Amino acid sequence: MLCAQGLELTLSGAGGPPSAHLSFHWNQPATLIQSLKSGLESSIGFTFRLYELRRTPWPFRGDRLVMQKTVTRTAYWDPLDGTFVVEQDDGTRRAYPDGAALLDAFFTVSQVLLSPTSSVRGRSLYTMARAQFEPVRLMPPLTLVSMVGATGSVATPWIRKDLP
Amino acid sequence: MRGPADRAAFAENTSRGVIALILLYLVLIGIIIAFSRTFITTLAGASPSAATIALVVALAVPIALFAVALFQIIRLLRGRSAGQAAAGLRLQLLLFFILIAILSAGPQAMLGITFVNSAMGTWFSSSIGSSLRGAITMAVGYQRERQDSLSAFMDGPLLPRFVADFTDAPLDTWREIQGANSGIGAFQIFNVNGTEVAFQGDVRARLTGPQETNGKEDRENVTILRQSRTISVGGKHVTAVASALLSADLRVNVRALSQSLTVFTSLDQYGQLFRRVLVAFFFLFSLPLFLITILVSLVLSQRIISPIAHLEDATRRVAEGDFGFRVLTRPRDELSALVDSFNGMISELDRSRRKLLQAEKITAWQEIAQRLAHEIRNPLTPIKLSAQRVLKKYDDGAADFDKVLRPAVGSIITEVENLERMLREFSELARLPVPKPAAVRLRELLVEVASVYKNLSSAVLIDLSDVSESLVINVDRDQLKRAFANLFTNAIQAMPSGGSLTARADLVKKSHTVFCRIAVSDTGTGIPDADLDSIFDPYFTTKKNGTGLGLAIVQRIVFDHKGNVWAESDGSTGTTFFIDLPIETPGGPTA
Repeated sequence: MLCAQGLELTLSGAGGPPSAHLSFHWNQPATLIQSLKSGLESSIGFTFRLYELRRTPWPFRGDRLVMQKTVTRTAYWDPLDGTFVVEQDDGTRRAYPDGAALLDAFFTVSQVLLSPTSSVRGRSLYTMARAQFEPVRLMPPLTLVSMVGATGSVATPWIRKDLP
Repeated sequence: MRGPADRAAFAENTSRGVIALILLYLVLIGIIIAFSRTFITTLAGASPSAATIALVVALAVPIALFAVALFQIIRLLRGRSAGQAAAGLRLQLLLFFILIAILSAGPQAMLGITFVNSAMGTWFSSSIGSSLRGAITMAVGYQRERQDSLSAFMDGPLLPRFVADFTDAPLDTWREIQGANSGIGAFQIFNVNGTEVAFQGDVRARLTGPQETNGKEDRENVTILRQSRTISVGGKHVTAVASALLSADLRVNVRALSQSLTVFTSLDQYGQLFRRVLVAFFFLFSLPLFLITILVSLVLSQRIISPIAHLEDATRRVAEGDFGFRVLTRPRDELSALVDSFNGMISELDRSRRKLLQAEKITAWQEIAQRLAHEIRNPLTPIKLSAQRVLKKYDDGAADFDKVLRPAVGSIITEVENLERMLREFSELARLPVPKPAAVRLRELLVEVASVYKNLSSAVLIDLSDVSESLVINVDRDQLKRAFANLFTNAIQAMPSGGSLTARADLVKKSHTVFCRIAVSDTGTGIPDADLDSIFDPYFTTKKNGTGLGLAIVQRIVFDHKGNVWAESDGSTGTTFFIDLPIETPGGPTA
């Protein structure tokens, strides 16, 4: 397990297709819950990249990107049902009755299948992952204020783990 | 010091650099405008580091433009202080462009900022927020009220009777149920096995089993609230399920209200900062345009003024005697016709000047030949007469031959010596070599000249106290010594009964050149006004034994040093000769 700046990446799937599990740690959960209840929204994006290690005399070419997957989520408070809702970029919504359940679901993405093509199977592969978290998701043109760091957006560095 | 040609080349290179910088910025602006929607939308998605880099890049261009503009303005101001050609006009053009830019951008900026402020204040006022929250509260209250109503019905005392009657007479009982609670949209009874016994109402609320009975169910077009209760009727347990149907619009509208509230809350929290960032963005984009206006005005004015400055420079060079100078211009330059005319005029002027010089030279030599012939002829007469007289006495065998011989031969020798002296001085005047300047302490030079004359005439007081000992000038020492010797000779000869000879030296500035002005004054008989204009002409003299070449030599030496010499006299109480010698560099003399 690797851990860097509040981000944990775990790989699993021995024998089968590999899958990734990414968990982001945010040190101000109470502030986030309060912000959501006040009517603001929050979003987080998890990005996974699968690379093939390329041993080449031309190191500037870098390794080959095999696949990339991004999962984006938005969290908000549903006043009608009195629940927290996490909406994924594919449109699926899930409601959570309390903050703890919300945080667990919002900051964790599991079973992200890293399905390398047959051409690279058996070669040296590794995964890079990072999270970009916006405690307050703003609508344009208010997004301008994010340029001056007012929303406290966080982008973790890329963390790497080799595929077994 | 940078010459006009260097300045022009530097300005040309600077202009190209400025134009390249402006084009780069305009391309950047074009890209931002073309992708402005994407830019603003994806701004939040950018990582903080990327946003920082973008901010630095966005700041770098205005800073670079500001630096270039500042440099150009400072150059312009310095040029104006140094009296550079047309710098004042360029400054006026610059101020005009700045004024136009402010007049065009200022009202737009004020209008834009005022509009944003008033729009945010009006569209997102606190009353809007209260309305949104109130609407959401009402929607939530409405749903809760329906839920509570449903619960009250299911917990009410009438339910057992309705359940008992519902199996036998479902339609009549359904009417009674709706009469008791109009909010119920469907009523359904399941037996203990979970099999439906009876159903009435909206079919969308119909269940396949009692296990799905509690809570809320959102469907595509409807939201269903359900409440169930198991009761015993006639010794049998049945489960009654009552449903209330809410329009899906409620859910959709509450979500829309929530999203509006999200925007409102965002504005409420970040509106003030947003305004500041907006103003900063405005200046981030408008300031470079303002600076570009300044740079464009500088470049344009440079292009307009440059040919005029070249003409001014060329005129000055021609005035200084450089007739070989020509102004170069671009073939398509609007002022090329003027420049061509100027160059043609200079060529014609040069030709005329050469012809004039040639004619002057011929005239001068003719005049000198005539004067020389005259000066040589003058002593020839007494020589001839003396020789004829001696010869006659000798031929006549005159007794007083011995008495006549000596004065006659003496007269011949004197005249021949005068002729020799005159020819020597003429030779000196004609053969004065090109000056070889070197650093000379003027005071020492004058003292050296004066020491000769102090011995010759003790009646004349020579005062050199007004010549600084530290004053150093670049002159040909021997030539200047000869010039001062001639002046001192004239001064002493003008004071046969004694007097004072004074020399002083000062630094004076004429136009852009600094001169060392040396004044040699005597208290002699003075020079009549009528003679003042002729005293420097060769062979002009008022003295009995003068050659008339002394002051001509002085003038020639001073002219060869690119200086000037003139005399002032009141005609009776003395004469002052002034010599101006140019100082090549400001650091040349040390006074």
